Amino acid sequence: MEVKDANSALLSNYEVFQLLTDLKEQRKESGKNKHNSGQQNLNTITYETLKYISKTPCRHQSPEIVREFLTAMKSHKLTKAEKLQLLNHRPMTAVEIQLSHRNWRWLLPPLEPGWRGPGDLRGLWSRAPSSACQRPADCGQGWTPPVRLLCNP
Amino acid sequence: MFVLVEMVDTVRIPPWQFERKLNDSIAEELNKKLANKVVYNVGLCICLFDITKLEDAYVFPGDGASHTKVHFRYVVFHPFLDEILIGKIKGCSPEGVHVSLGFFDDILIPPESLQQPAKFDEAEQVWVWEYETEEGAHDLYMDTGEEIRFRVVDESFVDTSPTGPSSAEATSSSEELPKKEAPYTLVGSISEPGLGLLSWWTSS
Repeated sequence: MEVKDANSALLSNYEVFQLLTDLKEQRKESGKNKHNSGQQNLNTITYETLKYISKTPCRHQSPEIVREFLTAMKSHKLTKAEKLQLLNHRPMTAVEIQLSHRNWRWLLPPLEPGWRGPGDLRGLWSRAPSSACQRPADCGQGWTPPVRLLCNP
Repeated sequence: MFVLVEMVDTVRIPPWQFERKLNDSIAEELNKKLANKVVYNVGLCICLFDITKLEDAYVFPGDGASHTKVHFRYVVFHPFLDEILIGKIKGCSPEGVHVSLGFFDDILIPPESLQQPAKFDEAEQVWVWEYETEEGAHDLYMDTGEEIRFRVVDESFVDTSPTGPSSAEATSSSEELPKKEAPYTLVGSISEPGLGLLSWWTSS
C-alpha cells in the first residue's frame, strides 16, 4: 500500500457527518448480511465518530449554510485553518475566537473604552462584583460578538 | 480534524465474490483493511471517501482471485498542529490529564501544560487548577466525564509492526509481555485563556 498524498484536502466536520450518515443508510438498506467480523471495525469507528460529531454544531449545518458562510468570510482574509475552525466550533464568545484566530480584532467591532481585549481578562474581572467570583466565567460579562455566525440551530 | 488522504493499493477479490459489483467488493475490502486502524505517519483511518481510479484486474497463476490496483481517497483523523478540539476527560494520573474523543483515546495533557498553578490531589486522584482572584484561591477540579477544550501541540507515531525473529529470542526470556504502545498519540495543552473545562468559561 502506498500513500500518494497524506494531506490532499481538509474536511469539515459537516462533510464527515454527511458521509457517515449516508454510509449508515446504505448499510441499513443493503440488509443484515454484512454482519461478519470483517465489518466490525468499520461499525465501531463509524458509530463512535458519528456519536462525537453529532454533539458538535455541524449537525445543524447544510451545504447552503456553509456556502453562505464562506462567501461572508471572503472579505476577512482568513486562512483555511481559521475558517475551518470557525465552521467546526462556532465560537460564541471573544475568548473562544481569539484561540484560533491571530487577528481576531478584525472580526469584532470596536472595543468599549477601557477594555483591553480578551487577552487581558483579569482587567475585566476586577470590574465585576466580587460576590459570585467562583470561576473565570462568573467574573466576566457575557460578551457575545456580533459576528453573524450563520450556523444557527 | 479530518483530512482526505490519497492512497494506492492492490485489492484481492476472492472468486466467490465475483458476482457482486466490483466497486462494492473493493469498497468493502478497503474498509475491512483500513477502518479504525492507524497508518504510520498518516493518522487514524475512518472510512472510504471515494474510489478515484480502478486499473485492470489480473488473475495470477495458482490463485483464482482477482487483483486490482485501486487509487482511492480515505477520510483520516489527523488534527493539525495548534488545532482546538473538545473532548471528555477520561481520567487523571500523575502523568497528566487523559482526554478521549470517543473514537480516539490517546490524548494526554502533561502537567506543565495545564492552567498554572495546578496541583494533583492524591486523595481524589484529580488535577486541580488553583484559580486565584482577589478574594482568594478557588480550586477548580478536573473531574472525569467533563468536557474539556484543548489545543493540539504535538503528535507522535510509533511503529508497532512486529519485530523480527532475532530480537524476539532476546525478549522471550523475560517474564512479562512487552508493554503495548499506542501507535498514535496526541499531546494537548490548556494553558491559555479559553482552554480547559467548558464550564470554566461559559457565563450563565
